[in-house]
Amino acid sequence: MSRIISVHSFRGGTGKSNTTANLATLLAMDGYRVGVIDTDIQSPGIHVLFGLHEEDMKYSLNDYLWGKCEIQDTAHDITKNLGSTVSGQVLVIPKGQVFLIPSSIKVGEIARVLREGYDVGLLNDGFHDLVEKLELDVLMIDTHPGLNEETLLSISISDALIIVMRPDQQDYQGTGVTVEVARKLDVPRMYLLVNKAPTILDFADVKAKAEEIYNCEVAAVLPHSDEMMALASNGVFVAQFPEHPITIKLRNLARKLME
Amino acid sequence: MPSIISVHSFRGGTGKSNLTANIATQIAARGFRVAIVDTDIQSPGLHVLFGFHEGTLDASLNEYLWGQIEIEEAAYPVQAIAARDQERAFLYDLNLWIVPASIRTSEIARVLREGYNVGTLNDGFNRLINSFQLDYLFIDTHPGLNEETLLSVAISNLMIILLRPDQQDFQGTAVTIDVARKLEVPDIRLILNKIPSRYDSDALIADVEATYQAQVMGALPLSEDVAMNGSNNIFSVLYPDHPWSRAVQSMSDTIVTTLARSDRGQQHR
Repeated sequence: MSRIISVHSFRGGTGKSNTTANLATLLAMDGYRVGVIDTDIQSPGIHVLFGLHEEDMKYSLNDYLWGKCEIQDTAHDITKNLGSTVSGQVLVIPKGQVFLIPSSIKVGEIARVLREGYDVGLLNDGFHDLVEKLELDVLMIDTHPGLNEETLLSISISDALIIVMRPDQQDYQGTGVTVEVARKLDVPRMYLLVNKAPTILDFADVKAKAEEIYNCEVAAVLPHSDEMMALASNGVFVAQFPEHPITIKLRNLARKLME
Repeated sequence: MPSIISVHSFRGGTGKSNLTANIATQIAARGFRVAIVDTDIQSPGLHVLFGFHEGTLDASLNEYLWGQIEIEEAAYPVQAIAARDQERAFLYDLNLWIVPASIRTSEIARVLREGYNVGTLNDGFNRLINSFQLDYLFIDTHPGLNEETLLSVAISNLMIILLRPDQQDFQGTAVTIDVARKLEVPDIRLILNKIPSRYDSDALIADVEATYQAQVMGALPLSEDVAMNGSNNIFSVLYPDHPWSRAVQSMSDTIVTTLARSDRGQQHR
């Protein structure tokens, strides 16, 4: 059974793209065929983590939405990018595969989608065709923060939704909005991921508080990490730090998602 | 001449709302008349920094965009907040107004579904400036390229682009500057935020300025103190001697003395 998993947050900068890339990589390490689609058309970014440069992007999600190609033409197999660092250090290459469907980083192309809009039905078809044509075990959807059409669509078709938040008032308030929407859209499984938590907080308290407020399972509380900041999206964290405590927690979440 | 200052970033979580709230408050504390509009309709958050609770926001930017109210009715003077909130008493003497976006799911969804006339938003900005005799209008934005971004960029005197020292931000900033230059913003400045202590800030600033051919007006350290405060209150007022706060004060000074001088203010003093 293929799964569609959306990663979302109300405010920006919670770590959605990093979390999506991390989970996708961990699943690929476990041998799965994973698709990652960047639906953050307004401000794409996950391609940076996977080391896919603009000049190497043959087709993007934008091209598909304008009818220029099939969805599978936009899929870039970036599995081998996970096997090395910028400095040339060799890492473990996953047994599975990661296919990235990027959104265009070209100003003109972002502006065009803004101006013209696109057929949301086409995006929906794209999700399903990807799973089928690439024989994916999992499709992970990275989203733009806040409520927008792509978010609503991806949540409504997902088997599982991960809502990422930081322990901050704006995020607490906004997560309430997102949880409400997700419940209305009947997502089968929903998890909270509290991210970038200052280390002086009591994580057990943070988890308990969030579970009480939202009546939703907190899959993990992840600390702010100096190593993650220093990596600065120059690569996928779990590939570079396979035994880090954060990686271990994310690995547990990845496995839980496939149960 | 009143000044319109928009605060942007390509990716989220760079600190736009927090910094906008801090700089605007600092400038108001210097005697100027200031308003902030939260145009982040998709994910509002500015109101949290000023202690607005969901229930107290009956009128918002959304109602104005739907033609239900005048923009002035959605502009909350901070005195009202100061009066009921001891921790925000410092707001009492300030000529500062906040125009929040609605946090109600149904209202966000409605704007998404129906859209709105961008000209209406633009008219609203001008009305605010005239009605409140503003020296400065700050526009807090949603990350990335979106209609509100493009409008605010097109009408701003000064565009501030925020970024963190992160690859996604670096790439995205190139996109944002490209847009700003095409829309001929008179002045573009960068602010580097959340810089880890191990970084050589000077080298980073030099690198960024060379890459984007734009001036860095400030470099703010990553601070666990600031992170702990989060959006609970205006950090630079609560902790004026903190390095982060000093940098904010310095940037606020730069704006009022150099970048976006308002001579309208002089009529009031």
